[in-house]
Amino acid sequence: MTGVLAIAFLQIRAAIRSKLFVTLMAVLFLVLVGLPLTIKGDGTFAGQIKLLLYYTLGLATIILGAATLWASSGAISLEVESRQLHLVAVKPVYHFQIWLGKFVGLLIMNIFLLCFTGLTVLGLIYWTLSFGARSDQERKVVREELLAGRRLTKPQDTLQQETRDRYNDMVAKGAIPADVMREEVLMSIKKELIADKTIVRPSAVRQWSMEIPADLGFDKSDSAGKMMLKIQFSPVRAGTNAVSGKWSVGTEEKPDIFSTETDGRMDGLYNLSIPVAADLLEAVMARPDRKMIVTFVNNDGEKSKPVMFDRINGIKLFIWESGFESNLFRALIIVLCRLSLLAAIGLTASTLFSFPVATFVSFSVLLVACMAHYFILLSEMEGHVHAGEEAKSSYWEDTSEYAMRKLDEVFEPILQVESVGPLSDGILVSWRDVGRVLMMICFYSSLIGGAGVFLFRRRELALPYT
Amino acid sequence: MMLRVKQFLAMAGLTALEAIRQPICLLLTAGCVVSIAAVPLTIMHLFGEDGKQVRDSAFAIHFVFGLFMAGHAAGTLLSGEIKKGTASAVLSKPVSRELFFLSKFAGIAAVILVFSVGATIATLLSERVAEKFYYTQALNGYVMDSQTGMMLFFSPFLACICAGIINYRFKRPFTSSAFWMIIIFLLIVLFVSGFFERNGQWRPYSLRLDSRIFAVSILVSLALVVLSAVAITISTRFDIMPTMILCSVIFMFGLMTDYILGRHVAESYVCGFFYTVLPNWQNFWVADALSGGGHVPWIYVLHAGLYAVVYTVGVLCLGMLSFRHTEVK
Amino acid sequence: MDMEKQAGAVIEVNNLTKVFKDFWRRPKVRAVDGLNLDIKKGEIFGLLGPNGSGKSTTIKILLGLLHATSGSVTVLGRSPRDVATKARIGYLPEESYLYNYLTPYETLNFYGSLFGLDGRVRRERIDQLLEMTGLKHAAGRSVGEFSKGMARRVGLAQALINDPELVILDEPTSGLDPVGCRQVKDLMITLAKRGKTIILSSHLLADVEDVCDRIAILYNGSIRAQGGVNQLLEKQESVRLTMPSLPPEVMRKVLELIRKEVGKEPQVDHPSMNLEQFFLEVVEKANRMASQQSGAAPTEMMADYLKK
Repeated sequence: MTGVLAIAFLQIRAAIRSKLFVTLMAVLFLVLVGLPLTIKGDGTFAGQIKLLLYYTLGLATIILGAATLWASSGAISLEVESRQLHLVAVKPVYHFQIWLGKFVGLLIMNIFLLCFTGLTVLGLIYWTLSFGARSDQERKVVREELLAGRRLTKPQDTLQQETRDRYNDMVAKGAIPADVMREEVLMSIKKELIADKTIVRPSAVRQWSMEIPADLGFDKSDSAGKMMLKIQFSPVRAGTNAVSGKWSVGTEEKPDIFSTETDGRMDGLYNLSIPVAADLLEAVMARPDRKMIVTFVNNDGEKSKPVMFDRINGIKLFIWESGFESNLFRALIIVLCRLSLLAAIGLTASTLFSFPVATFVSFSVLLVACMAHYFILLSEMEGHVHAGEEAKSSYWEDTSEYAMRKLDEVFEPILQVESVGPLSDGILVSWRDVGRVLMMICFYSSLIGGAGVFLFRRRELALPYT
Repeated sequence: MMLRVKQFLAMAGLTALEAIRQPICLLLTAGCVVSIAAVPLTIMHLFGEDGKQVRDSAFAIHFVFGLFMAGHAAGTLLSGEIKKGTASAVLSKPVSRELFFLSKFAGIAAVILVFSVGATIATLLSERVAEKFYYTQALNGYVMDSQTGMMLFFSPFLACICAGIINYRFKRPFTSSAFWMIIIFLLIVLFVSGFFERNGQWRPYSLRLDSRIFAVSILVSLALVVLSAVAITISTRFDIMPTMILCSVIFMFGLMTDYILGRHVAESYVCGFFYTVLPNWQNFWVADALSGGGHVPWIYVLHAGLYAVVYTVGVLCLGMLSFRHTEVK
Repeated sequence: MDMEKQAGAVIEVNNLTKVFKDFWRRPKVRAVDGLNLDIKKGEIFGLLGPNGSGKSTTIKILLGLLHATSGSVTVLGRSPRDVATKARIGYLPEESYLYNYLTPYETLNFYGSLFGLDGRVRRERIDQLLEMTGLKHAAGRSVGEFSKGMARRVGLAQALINDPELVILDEPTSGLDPVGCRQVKDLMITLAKRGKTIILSSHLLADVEDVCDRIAILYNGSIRAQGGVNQLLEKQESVRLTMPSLPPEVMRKVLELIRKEVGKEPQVDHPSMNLEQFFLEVVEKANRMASQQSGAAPTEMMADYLKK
């Protein structure tokens, strides 16, 4: 352990004395303080804060990521090149201690730089909140909606189940002709159901049911501003269509504990925020299934037009779970995990190759990971149909798609958990997410590190041309 | 004067040779060509949009790989020489520091330009490979020129095999041979593809390629030269790592300068200062102009070229000033 | 050197061959070719040879930095790549591959930590080594600012931080001033008296002659001559007598006697001080007068823990 720490501190000392650390701090400071000055956002104070968080943290992550990749790719290779590693390798240290020492050094530096980033962002947020808000109302909105870790609950997606139920029902009734394929029927039922769920015609009623978790992160008596229902909808046809209807929120027995009217002419998307009051929450939590029912009654065709909801994201319930500071802390841990993975990739490349080649290899791994994900998204896009006579996909296309899919499977667990995005939307980055990422990163880092150490052990350090 | 020119050429040639002999140079060149060749495979069947998609991706690949090469070569070659002591050995001869510094830049710029020639040929060929509507008596429909695609895709591999044979037989350095071989093979593919129709049939020689690509490629190459100047200037004062990080940051800010600074130029002197000082990559990124049959006017290329020259000269002057006071071991 | 030699080989090398290969696995250079060595405990063993004769390659194989192509190597009874063995070795490379941004104190502290030395022991040893190498006054400056000789002293100190049983010194006196050279030679002799084994690789034949018990001369990767220094250098067919200045008459008689008895013409000259001795005297005088200096201070002190 002493050896690992000695190598780690040597790494840190090298970073400090080669001006790397100072350069990074200066760049981060410039980005964190300079960038917000240029952000305008969508004109609202909340929009400004959201962008401030997203851009500063996002850019800081990219800068630290690039720096980590450069630094790790050079950590071992440059010392082999300058033969400084000869003196370390003849001391009683195992190869894994050298690798681990470098890794811990980079980890400590990243922890420090992320703390610096986190504290600066926090300071910026407090400062903007105190001096940048035009009114207390703006401040309140930002505090409740952005500077929090809120759990996001959506109505249960029962589309698959309903499709199967309806199909079984039709089969039982003998309503499906024998020459029609099962997939075709299922597809048409699905499309019909999606249309039903997406559009509410005049005079029609639509209900959503949402389950509120039992373990709320706040006291029920102090629920003001802690729960918020966000609804997004639009008229079916673009233009200035009048939409009027009634929204009610309650329980199954008493669906209108809270109600409000929507009435107006709309252009594009319409957003409605309904705070969940204490009495409503009390009533929902009193039920054993804790189901909250949201009802929309569209007015008749004289007054209103068909209304369209996004099936997945049309209705969201935000439940306060933690404060902003702890959410930021967790988000930064996830960022740290990702930086550590980059460090592991860079270090392993650095045990094998010279500095430039190691950097190239590490960047390529990253690029391939992102490309594979992009490619899979692209190939799954609807309407991706071949035209002309060359309609059959070639061997090359099949092979490349297979390779990309496999690569995506490998990288997906690492890329899937987002932290900066949810944080800037005021969405909870849970300890569960942190734990999952931590486990994944530990697993991948030890795998990559193991490979690095294995190859490092086999390498002759004093070859004349290294 | 003649002596200075000779010294300059000798030092620049040596720098170029050193850059080409680094494995990273070969990796980036081969990687760039293979990636550009692979683009038509990943972007498929977009009903006439394939050409644009391939062009845009190929320019982006040229830009990114080139930036990596420019940053690395410029950032490491000078600081490496200062560190290893070879700089002091050269400077102990009757060579001025300014000339030494400029020759380093010239050597790197020359390598970047050769790399850009390769990337441009690959882009021209890759654009030809992409699916296009094709009409003959025997065939009509979207056809991918897979023959050219295969030749392009495999040319770096063949070049490496040839370089391997040369290395085995004549003990010539593999990396530099392979680098030159890639360029030679690309030129051969460019020539040979003129004998084929899209569907693979022979035809009398005619090289039908999208010549609009040249203007955009020239601009991308200019951006790379500008970055080399920035990197080599930074490396006069910083070690390899901080140089790389500063280059990455300048590159990122250079991409966003229009967005984050451009709109405040009129109101703030500080923004105006940074807007002028930071390189603006957007000036060199005009790939979108080719969509819908458009082209980049040569007068624009001239203006952008002028910007690149002025910027590069400015940065190199700073670099010379800084290198004048750099302690070489 | 009348020291007690203990039995038992510290290094055993049998038929060692190292071939550097090119990318195609074709032999490029045969750096070591069928080398056999047997170095005993408490011995100062000199590896001599012109540039490119395979000295450094042999040393790097002994240290596990290179792997042997064929043949067997044991160092302190184990494989040279065994980590536990490395705790008992001290190594000074042919150039000081030190971290330029560290001070001598930090350098020694770092290498001391790699040996797992306790903080107190580490501090004591660092103080003594800095004193011994004459770098105490420069302990706060970074190694990057040092001259070659000063960096060499730091290199030597780091090789001794673990009080090693086997010390491998590759060109230890290169870049050192004559005072430093003498000190290194004295140090080697002291260490050998304590039963430490020393391998010295050098081109400076005078250094080797002064301190080594046995030497091996390498050429093109194989040993051309091996044995005790005295045994190899002694001219059995002639004798030298040293005596106070003789009056001309006595001298004439002595020469006459030798001519008569041996039948050959004897050679007569005045013994002279060698340049090293002369230099040491001058520096010692100057040192007594000097008050302050920036380079390595000449010192005769030996680190206490190395004397025990």
